[in-house]
Amino acid sequence: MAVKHARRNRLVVPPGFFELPLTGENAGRNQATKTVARITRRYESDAGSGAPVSPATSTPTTAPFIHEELDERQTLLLGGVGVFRVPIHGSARGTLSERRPPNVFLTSTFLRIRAYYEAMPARIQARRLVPPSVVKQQSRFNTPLLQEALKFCLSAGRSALSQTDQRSLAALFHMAESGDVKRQRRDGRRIDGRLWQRRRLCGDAGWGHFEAPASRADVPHEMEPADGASSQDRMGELEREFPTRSSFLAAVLGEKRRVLAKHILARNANTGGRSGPLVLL
Amino acid sequence: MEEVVHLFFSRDLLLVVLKLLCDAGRAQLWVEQLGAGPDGTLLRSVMINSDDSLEEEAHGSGPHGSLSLDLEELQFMDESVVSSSGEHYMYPILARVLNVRDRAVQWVTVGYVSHVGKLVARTAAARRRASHSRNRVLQRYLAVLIRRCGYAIQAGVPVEFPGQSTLSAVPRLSGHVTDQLAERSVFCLMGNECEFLFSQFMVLSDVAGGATGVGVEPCDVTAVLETQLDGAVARDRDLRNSLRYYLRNEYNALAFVPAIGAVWGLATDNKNIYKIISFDLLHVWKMGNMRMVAHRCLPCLRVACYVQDARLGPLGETLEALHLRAWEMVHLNVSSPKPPGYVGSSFSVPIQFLQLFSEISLSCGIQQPSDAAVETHRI
Repeated sequence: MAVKHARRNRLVVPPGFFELPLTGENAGRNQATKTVARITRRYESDAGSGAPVSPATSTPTTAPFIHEELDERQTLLLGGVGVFRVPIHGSARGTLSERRPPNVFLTSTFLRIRAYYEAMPARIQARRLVPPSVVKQQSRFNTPLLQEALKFCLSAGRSALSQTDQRSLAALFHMAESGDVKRQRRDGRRIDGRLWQRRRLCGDAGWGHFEAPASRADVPHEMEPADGASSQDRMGELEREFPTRSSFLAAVLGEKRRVLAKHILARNANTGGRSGPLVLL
Repeated sequence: MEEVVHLFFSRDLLLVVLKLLCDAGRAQLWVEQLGAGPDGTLLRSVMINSDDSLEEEAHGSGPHGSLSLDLEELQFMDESVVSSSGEHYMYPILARVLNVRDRAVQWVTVGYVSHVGKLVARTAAARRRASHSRNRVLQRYLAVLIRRCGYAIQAGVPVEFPGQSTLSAVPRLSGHVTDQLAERSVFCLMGNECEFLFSQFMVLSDVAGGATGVGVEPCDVTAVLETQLDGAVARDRDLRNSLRYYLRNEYNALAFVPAIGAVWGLATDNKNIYKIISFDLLHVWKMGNMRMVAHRCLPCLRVACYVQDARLGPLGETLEALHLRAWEMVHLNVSSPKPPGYVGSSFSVPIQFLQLFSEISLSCGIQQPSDAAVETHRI
């Protein structure tokens, strides 16, 4: 139909035609609705053996496995006891440019109530809380110190720290690390704990004869790290990763979203949703 | 109307129901009719085998053919504490699929409704804002929650079972467990100054519970919903209350439309919208309702056990059996964000008291509490 009668196919928008309700506000929504989740499941059962399943009960032999991924223009599949195909509207599938409301019989209370709420903007403002693509992001809390800081943020006081307290905690870390850097610089140690060219500067005099410079200007050029380390290396670990308090706060929020999405995926894959914490998606 | 942004966190109810059925280790697809026992008593095992489900299945097989199955859902809403300080409250909406017959009953959180505080200012604008938050926003939440479910109810969801032909799954809402205030908000009925009791019958509150209250006409669901729909449309255009006095006087209803009326079977066919109201037995026990019922239980049992063929024997033995059954319900009656442990049907008709009391005792052994909601709150 699309090939032979390209001009008569009403499912394809002809060139130059635009839908009146397709205003600028709704234009971006059509692409978003095309993204649908596809959940497939396969489990080792005796389905292949052709054994009939009791109409009243059906028991999978092993734990099911769910694989969830984003795939456009696919119907939503759910499998387990059976395989479900949730019908998707043509606007989400891409065959229609705009969602068209169904016919409403005025004599049907059921349809009129549904049409009343379908006309409200809350329907089109719904969006996913955590998109599944967040799972692919790498965690920024990848060192023991950062992980402990994150753990403290999310567990202190049983109900986690508030956002204001998280900002204060980040400021406290920055102050501690800056003070630690100054102290280590006075001691002649590098931030990462290795010796800072000390033995070369002091020669054979040993540790006891080393005199720390009074100020940064007094530090000779030879005392700078010889391996080309910049000022980033002289910063603390947390300060280097999160230079500002807001960045630390945003990273904690992002980590919560990432763990939430990862947890949903892991829970679906491992437990099949039978137990464990339930989350919003 | 003032611009206030409301956030509603929810899942798609249809996908949740289908996923629960997929994850079920043991599922019951069709309603099973047990019939009568050897002594002539009605035998009921689980909620999915109730008389209402039988009627629903009989009506549901009409438009969808004989190759269809019903996905029975149960909803629960109750206020819960979501902060350790006890300051913040929310209304989690939990759902359960009755077709799942696993040993561990699983309630799944499908949404969170924000708490609406008490009215502080005694102004018309403040009252309007509170009414908007308690009724209209709540209905829009529910409409978002059951949106795809409503379409699937009408068209059915094709299901392919291994080794069998394709069936059409028709999700239905077979129960709504709330307390009294929440159920009035969900069904858009007045919370106070009501002339009629909230029941399946148009019985006046003055004569309810007496002999004159027996035999009143049942509530016309279609008329109430139609009038509510007209009132909601009128309210959207004009906020004056004088236009909606008819709703208040005739039906004790508010000018909002219950969103669950868009579910097939509640406003159509059997019109079960007021029959699905259930209650959490532990909750009403805590509120003292069960004590009030128990006070009226003794004279009722005395009359019922007067005849020789009482099921549990004479009055003393019947009370002993009821006491033993209550003793078996070992639980801690504390407030917690847990899903309902024991759900009973609504018993608004006094003449069916004994039958429904047996239903309560039957349903007590069906549903066990689950920690699913608690885990949700930890996140």
